[in-house]
Amino acid sequence: MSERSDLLSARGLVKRFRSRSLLRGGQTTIALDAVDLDVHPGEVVALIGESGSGKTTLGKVVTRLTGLDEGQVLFEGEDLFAVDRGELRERRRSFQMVFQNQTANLHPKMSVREMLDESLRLHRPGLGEGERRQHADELLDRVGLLPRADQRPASLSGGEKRRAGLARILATKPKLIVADEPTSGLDAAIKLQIIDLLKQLKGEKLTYLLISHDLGLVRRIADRVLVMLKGRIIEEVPAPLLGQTRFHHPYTGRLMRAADLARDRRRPPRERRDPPRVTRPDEAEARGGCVYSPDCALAERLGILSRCRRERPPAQVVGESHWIACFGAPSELAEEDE
Amino acid sequence: MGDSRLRVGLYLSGTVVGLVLLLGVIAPFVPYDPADAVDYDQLLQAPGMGHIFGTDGQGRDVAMRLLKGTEAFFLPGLMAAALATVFGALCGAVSGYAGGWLRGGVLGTMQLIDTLPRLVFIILVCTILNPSIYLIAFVAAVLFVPSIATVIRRRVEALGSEDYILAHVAHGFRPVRILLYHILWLQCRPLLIRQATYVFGYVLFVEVALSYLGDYGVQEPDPSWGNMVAQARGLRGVSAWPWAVPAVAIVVTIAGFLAFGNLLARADEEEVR
Repeated sequence: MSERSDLLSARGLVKRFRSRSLLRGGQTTIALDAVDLDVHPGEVVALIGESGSGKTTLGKVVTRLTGLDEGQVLFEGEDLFAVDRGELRERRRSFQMVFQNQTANLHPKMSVREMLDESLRLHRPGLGEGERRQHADELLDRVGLLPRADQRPASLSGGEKRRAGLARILATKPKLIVADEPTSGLDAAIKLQIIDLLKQLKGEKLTYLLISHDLGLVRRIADRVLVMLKGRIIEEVPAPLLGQTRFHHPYTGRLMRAADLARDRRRPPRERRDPPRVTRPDEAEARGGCVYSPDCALAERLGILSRCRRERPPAQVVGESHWIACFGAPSELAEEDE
Repeated sequence: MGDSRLRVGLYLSGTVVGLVLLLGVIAPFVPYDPADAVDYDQLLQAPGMGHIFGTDGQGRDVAMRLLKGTEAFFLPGLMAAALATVFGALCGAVSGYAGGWLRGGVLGTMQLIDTLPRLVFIILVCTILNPSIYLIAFVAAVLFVPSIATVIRRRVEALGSEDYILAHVAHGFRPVRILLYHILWLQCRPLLIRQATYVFGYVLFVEVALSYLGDYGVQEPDPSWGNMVAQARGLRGVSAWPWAVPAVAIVVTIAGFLAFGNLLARADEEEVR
């Protein structure tokens, strides 16, 4: 990893949510727990993990849409949390976010064309009216929405809304797109359209941070996959290896099996020793240890459970650009998958 | 569904509003000397040729006085509606968006104004200052700012937590633009239309009330819809026209404006679906 070529570089991100209750005192949830993240120009980095693992929070933090408790986010070498508001607005055109909620990317009272025109007016102030219109048409054509240009979001389908949101984002010529679940809630055919579009844009030198638990999407377009659990990144794996290697974090292994089971209905659900998927045992010794340890069959089998609960496992390299935060790595892991 | 009924209502109330606007605009250009209009040969004429609404107890043309009577509330009403709407929207937007002392200050001021009973306060102002209708309209506008601001503030607060507003921030729009254009103009317009027509109707009501009560409104011989009714009070049983015409005009105008505002707002809301 050469520091210079990083588009986005985040170090030691910590984000806590506090719920305040007058009578019982506040409760703190740790959404991000010392997360490091690097994104190089032109690559697609995928964040996978179950709901509540902190994927969306991470996406919002690196675009400064929410505050940060500790750590530093560098975008093109510049500290994102140090720039003032005016500068931040300027920078925003370089990193755009596609929101998970498909209606969230669009204003309900504006047509697609109006929205694009407004974006171009903001981000490309040099263009004249005719140029803007031409440009908007090009963008609409790129996402295949030209015939629906004068519609408002309410009369667009889910896939069309996604594409409209994407067109708007492309109007800023962003360097980084944070895409939060770009295919959730879409049926298979529309999903494929979106995947193709994302793929095509990837060919045009766009960089993505892709937040998704759709492993099909991740396998198709990601270069690198980061697995998140309970606010920590517990594995980094090259996308082609995802599900193809035996060296996975036990949690990743479970994610893969869950996905395969969901996809392949013919396979009868075999007896598995998957324990209930809650961390508890006191939040893995108040998070001093591995957050997967209470659910981890491997740790039990290897007899290292007490260590897993007390110590946070460091990253262990198990292959090229492939590491796992697990005390069981690497040799013993092979045994986990039967 | 209900679409055609909405349209009919919109046309009907729109006609009333249009007519009042037309009268209000041309009235100042019609020469009229109220003292000169007295004609004792034409007392209490029934409607007919030359006097379409008849004449009053002093032989003055009721239609003419009705027309000139619009001057008493037309411009003040427009002014008050504009002021109340603009300031109400701004105060609502500021208190809905900003935090800290600014929000607290605006909210406190709004609550303070809101405790004043409107008509009583206006009459109080009149007894102290004996002001022009413009000042009265201004006071009315100020009294309406809190209720408009509250409606807008709630809307701004609700929209502020919507994802698409966050998406607009993420897209790089200035907060001022998001607040004024994306929230106020695009999302609160129906609310503002409703409130504006309401304030206009209220100014007409205040003018009528003051003129009818007599001490602070438009003074004879100058006409206003309120003093026309007041003056014709004694004619009950003799002739209905001098008081019925302005009374109906008052009711139809206020109802027309309220209905128009309401229906226009609904049309504006429904356009999206």
